[in-house]
Amino acid sequence: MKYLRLIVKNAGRNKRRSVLTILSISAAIFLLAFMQAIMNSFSSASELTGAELRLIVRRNSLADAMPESYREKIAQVPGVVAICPANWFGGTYKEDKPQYYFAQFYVDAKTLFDVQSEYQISPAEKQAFQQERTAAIAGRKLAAKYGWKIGDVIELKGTFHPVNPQLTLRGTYTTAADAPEGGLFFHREYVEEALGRPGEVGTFRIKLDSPASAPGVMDAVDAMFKSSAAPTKTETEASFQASFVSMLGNVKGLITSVGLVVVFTISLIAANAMAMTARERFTEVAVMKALGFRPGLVLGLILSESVFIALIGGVLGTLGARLGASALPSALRDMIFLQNLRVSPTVIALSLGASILIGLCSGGIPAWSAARVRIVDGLRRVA
Amino acid sequence: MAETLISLSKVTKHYRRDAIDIPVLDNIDLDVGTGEFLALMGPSGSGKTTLLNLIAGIDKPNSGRIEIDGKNITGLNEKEIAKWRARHVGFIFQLYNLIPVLTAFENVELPLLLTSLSKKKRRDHVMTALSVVGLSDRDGHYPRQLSGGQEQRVAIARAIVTDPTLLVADEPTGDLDAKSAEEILDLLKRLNVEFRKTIIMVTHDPRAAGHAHSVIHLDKGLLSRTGGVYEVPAAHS
Repeated sequence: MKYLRLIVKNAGRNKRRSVLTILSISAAIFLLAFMQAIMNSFSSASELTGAELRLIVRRNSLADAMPESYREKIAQVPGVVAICPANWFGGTYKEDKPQYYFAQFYVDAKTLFDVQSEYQISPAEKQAFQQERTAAIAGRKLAAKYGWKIGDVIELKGTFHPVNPQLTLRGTYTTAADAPEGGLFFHREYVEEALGRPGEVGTFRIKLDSPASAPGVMDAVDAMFKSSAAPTKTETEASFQASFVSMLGNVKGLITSVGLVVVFTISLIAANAMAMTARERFTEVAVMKALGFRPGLVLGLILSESVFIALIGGVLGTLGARLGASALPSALRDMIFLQNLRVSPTVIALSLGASILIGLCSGGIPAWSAARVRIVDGLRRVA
Repeated sequence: MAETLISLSKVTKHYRRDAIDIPVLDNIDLDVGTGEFLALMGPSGSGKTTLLNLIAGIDKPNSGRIEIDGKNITGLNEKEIAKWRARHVGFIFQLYNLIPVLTAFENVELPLLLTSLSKKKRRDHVMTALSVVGLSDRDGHYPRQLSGGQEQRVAIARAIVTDPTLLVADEPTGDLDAKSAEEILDLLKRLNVEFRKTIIMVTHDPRAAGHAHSVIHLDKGLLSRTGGVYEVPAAHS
């Protein structure tokens, strides 16, 4: 600790350079933390309550549909306790702007709550939703976001489907406290009828009697329709969510590559700054060594200085990522599967660790060179 | 002469520049007594700074033996000699070589960071050293806020704060005006007389050398000694 003042004062010696180095490191760490948070959000997108008891049946391509007749056959498979057809609507609410994007599904209102048993809704609202063909329910956070009240009419404009549903909000549901804002659910009969093609199902949501039944049910369902015109792909809800992410391409690989390239580049910039700092102090290092500072101590002091600067950048970058993650508009989160986007303690630890690593790497060679300075050479530079 | 503190025996030093061998010191023998104030003089390139560096333990001879207070410092490794320097040698440089981001207090405290002294003890030592050089009221000043003479006095305080046996000064007045130079020389003399510090000072300036007990002339790697108080040549007076 007695060297702390020396380290801090030396770190602030060339303020402009230190500030620029800190800013460049903070930018790299911001990117690293934010990207890591995005990847974590992708991974945890399907960690919803009850997900272990749910399977999703779909076609290989998410754009293709299955016949309604599959429903009864799937319901007969041992282990299946409930099944709910659900289609993604993807319409526009008010304007085609990110702040108005949210998840919209037309579903079988009677069986929705059997499958999504974690949805908490009052019996009266549930009944009102199930009884009225144009009724809809929304996640409570979603309703609050748009100021929807029970009885409000919500107009959607079809983009993938040529139909503009006019829905009446009859209830709101909640899930876990930290769950995303939820979506808007309405009757599939209403949309199917308007489309004039009843009987096409995008996905079947299945509830199992136990998580152990999942492998057997998946095999049985897919085997059942293997030779049909519409073979199925049955998967866990987690896997289904992941398939959406995979639609974005190798996002994780891209994020990791970009992150590493940025961190490497910033390390070089920081190393250059540290090398300049060390070079300028050639004589000072020689004086300190003449006074009795051993090479190992000189190395430690310059490395500590480099780590100190990098750590300030790391803290700023991590704070920035944390603020950025919390400030991201919720509509954007839903659109790109970032419902759970947050800079977790693990990401914070990782980011600070990365900044320490940047400090060690960038300060390593300058510190090593300084430690090896011959006193007479350093003193001669002045004389 | 007083008890011998520094003893050089057949010390040779040469440098290699590219493939060329440049002799600097050739079989030097020298004894310096405890409490002596010795000036090293000679033309540029005569080897006086090299000799000072060898005595201070910041350079090693190619051959020969250097004993300080009975200890053969030529046999010490880098770690040992660093420890020895911290304990026994105080350095005074021509350009002061203070750390610009540290205050006078912090600069003087620097060598004490290598000791196990408590913060309070370090403070006491630093304030004592600063008061010896007459700068106890400038402890919070940065080098840029001090005059050249004051900077050199801070450097002297840094040199004496560990109470070393030996002070080595390389052109300590070379960058100062005449008045400041005289003050620094008086201070060195005081350290020598009052505090019994053995001082070896490299200088080009005969007036500065005049403050020493004896003067050693180095020329072409060879040494000659003038005993007693150095007399300023008529041309300089």
